[in-house]
Amino acid sequence: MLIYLLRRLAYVIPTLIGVNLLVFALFFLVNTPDDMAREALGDKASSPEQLAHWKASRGYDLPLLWNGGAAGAAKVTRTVLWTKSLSLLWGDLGRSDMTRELIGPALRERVVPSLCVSLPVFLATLLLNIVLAMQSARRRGGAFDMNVQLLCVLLMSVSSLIYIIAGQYAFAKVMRLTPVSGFQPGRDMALFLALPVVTGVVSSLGGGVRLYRTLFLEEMGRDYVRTARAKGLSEARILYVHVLRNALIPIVTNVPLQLLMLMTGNMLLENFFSIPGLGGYTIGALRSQDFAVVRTMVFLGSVLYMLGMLLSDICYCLADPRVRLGGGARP
Amino acid sequence: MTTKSSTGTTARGGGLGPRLWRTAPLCLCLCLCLLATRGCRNDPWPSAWSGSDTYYTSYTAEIKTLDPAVTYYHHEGVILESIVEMPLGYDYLRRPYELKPMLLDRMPEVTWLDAAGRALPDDAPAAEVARGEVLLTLREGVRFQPHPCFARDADGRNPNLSEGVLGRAGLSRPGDFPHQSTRELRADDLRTALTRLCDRRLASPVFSNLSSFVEGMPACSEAIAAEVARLESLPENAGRDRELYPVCVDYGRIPFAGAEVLDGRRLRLRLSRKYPQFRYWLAMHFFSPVPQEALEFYSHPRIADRGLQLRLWPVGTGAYRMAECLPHERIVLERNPAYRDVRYPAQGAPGDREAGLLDDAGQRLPLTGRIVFNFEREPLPIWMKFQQGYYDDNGIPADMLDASVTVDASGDIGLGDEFAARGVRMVKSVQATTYYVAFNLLDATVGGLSERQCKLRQAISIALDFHEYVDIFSNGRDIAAQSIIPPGAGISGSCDLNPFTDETDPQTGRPRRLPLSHARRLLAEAGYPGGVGPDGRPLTLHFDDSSSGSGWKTRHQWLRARLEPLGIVLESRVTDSNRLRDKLSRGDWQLMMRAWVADYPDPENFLFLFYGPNATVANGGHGMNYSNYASETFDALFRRLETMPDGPERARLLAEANRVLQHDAPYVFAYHRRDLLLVHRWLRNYKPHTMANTFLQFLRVRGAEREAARREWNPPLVWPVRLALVLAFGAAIAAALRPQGRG
Amino acid sequence: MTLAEALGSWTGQNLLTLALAALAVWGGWRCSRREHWRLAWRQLRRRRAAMASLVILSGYLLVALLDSVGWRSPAVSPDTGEPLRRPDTGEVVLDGGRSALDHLLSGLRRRRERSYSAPLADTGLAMTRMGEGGRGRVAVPEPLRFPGAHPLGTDRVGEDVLYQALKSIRTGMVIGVLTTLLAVPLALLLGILSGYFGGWVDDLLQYVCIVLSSIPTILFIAAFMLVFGQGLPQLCLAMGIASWTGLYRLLRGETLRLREADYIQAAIGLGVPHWRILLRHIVPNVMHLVLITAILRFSSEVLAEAALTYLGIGVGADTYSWGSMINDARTELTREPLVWWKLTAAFAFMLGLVLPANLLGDAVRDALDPRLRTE
Repeated sequence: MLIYLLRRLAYVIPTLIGVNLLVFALFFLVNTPDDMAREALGDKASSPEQLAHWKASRGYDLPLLWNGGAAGAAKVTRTVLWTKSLSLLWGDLGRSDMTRELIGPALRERVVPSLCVSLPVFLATLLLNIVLAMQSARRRGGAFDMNVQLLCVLLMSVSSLIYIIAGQYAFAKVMRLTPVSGFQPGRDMALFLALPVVTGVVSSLGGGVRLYRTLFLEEMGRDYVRTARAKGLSEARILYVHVLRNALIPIVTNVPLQLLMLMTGNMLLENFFSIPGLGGYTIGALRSQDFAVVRTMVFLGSVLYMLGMLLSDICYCLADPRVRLGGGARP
Repeated sequence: MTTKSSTGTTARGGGLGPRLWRTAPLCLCLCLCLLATRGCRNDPWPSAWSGSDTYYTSYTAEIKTLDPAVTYYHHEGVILESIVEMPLGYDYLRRPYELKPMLLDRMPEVTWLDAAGRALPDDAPAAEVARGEVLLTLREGVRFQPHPCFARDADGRNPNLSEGVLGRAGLSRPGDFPHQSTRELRADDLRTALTRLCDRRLASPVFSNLSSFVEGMPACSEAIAAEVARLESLPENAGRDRELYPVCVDYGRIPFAGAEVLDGRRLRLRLSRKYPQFRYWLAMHFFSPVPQEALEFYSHPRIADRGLQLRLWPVGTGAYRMAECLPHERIVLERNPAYRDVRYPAQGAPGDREAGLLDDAGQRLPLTGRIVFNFEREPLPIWMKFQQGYYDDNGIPADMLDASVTVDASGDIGLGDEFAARGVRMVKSVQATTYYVAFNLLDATVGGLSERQCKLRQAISIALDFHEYVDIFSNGRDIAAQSIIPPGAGISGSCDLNPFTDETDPQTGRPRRLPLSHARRLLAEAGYPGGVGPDGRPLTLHFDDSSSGSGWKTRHQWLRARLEPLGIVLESRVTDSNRLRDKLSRGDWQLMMRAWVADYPDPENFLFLFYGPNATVANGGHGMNYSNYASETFDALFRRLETMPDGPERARLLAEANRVLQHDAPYVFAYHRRDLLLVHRWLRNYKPHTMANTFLQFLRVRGAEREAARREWNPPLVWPVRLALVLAFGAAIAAALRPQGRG
Repeated sequence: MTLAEALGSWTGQNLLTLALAALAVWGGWRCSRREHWRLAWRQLRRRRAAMASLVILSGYLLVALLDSVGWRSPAVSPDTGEPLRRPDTGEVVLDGGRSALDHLLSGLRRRRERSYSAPLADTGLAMTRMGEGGRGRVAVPEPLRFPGAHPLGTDRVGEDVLYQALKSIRTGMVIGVLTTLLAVPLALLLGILSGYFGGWVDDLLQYVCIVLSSIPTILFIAAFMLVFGQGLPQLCLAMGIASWTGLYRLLRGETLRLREADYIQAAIGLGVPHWRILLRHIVPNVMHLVLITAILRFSSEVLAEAALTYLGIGVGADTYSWGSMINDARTELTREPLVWWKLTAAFAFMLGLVLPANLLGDAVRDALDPRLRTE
């Protein structure tokens, strides 16, 4: 297992470089440094000298990929790619191109609200998914199962935008139970989070229940379940101990990957509910062409993703000791 | 909160007793959830603020900077200009707009001089004037807000920058520092602000504009650059990160020909040409004084490390100071304790007394203790919160007002009954803004200044009936434009009727578009009978736009539908703003819709958009004349009226210039924004001003009245949720109680 | 004429539509000859919900097809109503062309009002200004030009909402189908190659997969659309590229498992060429996964369009879509009285497509699962 993990780790660096290069390419195919400067300074202030100074002060006056004018290693290091994009690899987040605010503290400030929304959504969804899917699976084909299935398909067939708009309208405007939007740490936090969390859960429920139901059904058809029943174990024990434990494998392989979404926030939810989190930060950066922030967010996303993959591998191993990582066959 | 429960539906077979026990966690969850619903309310504000004299409003674009040398956005200006003051200000109540001294003791004294240094009369032609001198005299007894940057110990050092203070935790706002002090405003502070505009590191948006009439700005810019280089090369700054900790320049020591400090309260501005509009600039925040102490304080590395910067925590002499600054969340201003004695004006425009705008005459400002600006990314929440009474006004009014207003016979706008019953008032004001559809005059099809080409543009102008547009898109709120200059915004030179596109409606006496048949005739004369061009194909035009903001799709649909009856096909080409700017600077476009927001209430600020030498393509993408319109007749008129004081002669020239533009039709003049702000009944003294942002201190909030209304309007309706909870849990409990066999 | 132009012209588009339709029919015919699929089909026929879904989906497909073929017709002078002719040669001038659906719905399309009106209303929402003055509000609801003729009301510029919703069907279907057609074959090809061959092929493909999937989808699509411009094909391409990785991982795993199966090991031992093994043994055995993913993918892509449009990276200005209808509704909901019909229409039409697709997907999965077969 250790060797497998090491091999995985060896993947990390090239992958991060790949992600960086891709983002760099995508971004600068669209926005030249001149565009960025003009966006930042506004139409009224974009004289050539000011554009030049803006670029110089932020390091965008360098060539993008190859500095022919420099000597030696500086041919590569004195470029935008090196100073702005690859610098992330050694943990230098830098400053926002637009506001000059340090990105590190900005992230720290925003990650808490993001987590406050996405963590409850994630946990509640996971719990509800498992419980509903289990109940549905054990009553397979019955009225309960059919109703849950239909409900799930219905839930899945609605755009999350509709949930948000309808939720705000019903709960905040008609029933006046929660604030329309906003965020406040402290005592009132639950009040502000209720609506986004409920909306988030409802919009991500359908798919999960259906997936988990399939997994549980798959497991319930196995021999060990029959054996357990023959031994006279209670149904609940069979389901929630044995079946769940075995079905957990695909679940845990999936769960850490969702860490990505947890940290980087849900852009739609954050925008509509005015939650000062990372999702809104990313959208803002994309709109204002803030390369420093965009590449940091993507980088952060990919680091978390990789971390999630690693974690899921470890979980996979822990959940099912029979699995030998590195052995090849891994669904 | 309904979803986080229902964990243990682990019913197992067996007797009823154990099964009852199994349901205990479910019952507990149900009880907890029901209890939790008791705390439901939709108040988005901290309870500590309820009932206080706080004014709540919103902003929808993120605050990037509040640095007076840099910001150019309206929503930032509103915040900044409540904190800082300018040499001149607009009278709050009087209309048309009237400049009066704010930080100054009296109006600036101007002398125009010829090349030999002789004083010239005020109406001397611009060509004879070689330079100008303006004497600014500051008011006595103006003090800055208490701020840690002014604190000094016996040795003249700032005790806040000592190791003992800087080592403390929790210094996240200037107000957290132990030593606060203030100081009187000096003429140096004004000079510092001006000199700072020349600092290239700031990239002030007005530098090039100002250097066209203030003396010595480029030289000053060079001097600052040299000084920055010198400071950075000093041994103590070796290894200093210029990005993180920019060196602090002592602007007082930089030579600057444009501003000379005569004594503590007097400053002489030197202008390089005749430019009477400089007065308006003195009312903008670019001229607000900046204390050198603040620059030094914020440039301290340990302060910068705490995220304290001038761009977020401006230091000024105004009515408010920053109390909380979270640009992506909210900004809170509180009363500046050192604000001098300023009183609510005792006289206003006709009708103000009846409107209750003079009720607070003679009261000391500011009338409201705290201002809360809340960041909202979506219009819907703002609107809902306004309806619930949690915002005192509806903030940005663009899309939201559509149908809450009704239009009456004379075109006047009134409120819907529902709002009227709640005591919501509506405040109208014409913005110094013109929206237009521009033609690219360099384009082979829509460009050119020959009679035929002008007719094509006139025909399109008639077809694009912006009277209808205004009715549809803003419910008659905005004003269909007849010329580039908005009427009713206190700017001379506006035009009542564009004879090439409109006629007077005999019933209402107001302009309406000429009939479409007229447009078709013009189109035929232009060489496109029935919209079919010489090549036998329907005339196809491109409309370039960037896809920002909501509603742009319907805008395109409308434009397309309006040109269809002429047989013209309009194709949308939607790109991002970068590509759009590229197209502008290359002149590779045909039609485009844009807007111009005036900086000051002078017609010159509108007409320069058509001045030939400002053409965008010729200036490599930098001029503001996007249409690349170049007419010798117009240019000659513009040069004559540019620096002329308002009067009959200028009015005549303005009318002539308007007529030339209306005939050549480089723009389809679309509409002028009329802002309609909805204001709750407890917010008093609101009078919109399109130029000044210093209105917050005049507002009064009746907190108790607001509190009562909020309570009355927002009783929580809990039973549906409780019912749903009981049903859901009831079902789960029932399921758990049922004896179960195998699944 | 470039490829893009060719595809943009009606001739090109008609040919493409016909080719795709023919391909689908051929595929169906091939499948119907396989015992495996015929069995599944018999299963499917017994499920009423599945059959109902199939009928609804066929309806949607028909509308989409009708909206994809079109022709140019003579332009008519707006003045006289007579066909336009070239001034010099007298030739009849053709207009830009409209789809078959447009021709069918020309009634709806032409019945424009000035602005909003509620479903089946006789008057608009807007108040007219009365001619002669007098103070006080003389606001009278404006009579419609075509009272009662708009089953789902009209929008801000007076366009029929039903027409917009119907026009959006093609957009939704194109996004769903094209994206799926892009992502699924790509994932299938790469997945089985990666799983079957292993080694450096696997390493390389895994690397690409990880790099792509670690960029947040929205960022990727936004950047892609910025590079290649806004439009329906670009959106499909971007969504396709962004979404193949999930299925790829699934198929790679499945292939890894299958590869170890005895009969495949035996085939390898017998020296059967790789491509033959892949085609004859691996592909048929992962087909059920592919099919189910394709159907579920289809519905999620249709929904994703709405969210993307909200974020400003959706389809272009000239294209109708449910996403842009919902997007408009954000501001319409702030009106009093509420303008609810556009949102409702978009919601209902989306549900009408996605719900049957999901139901059918479920039924197909069950029908293909041998363990669930009830003979």
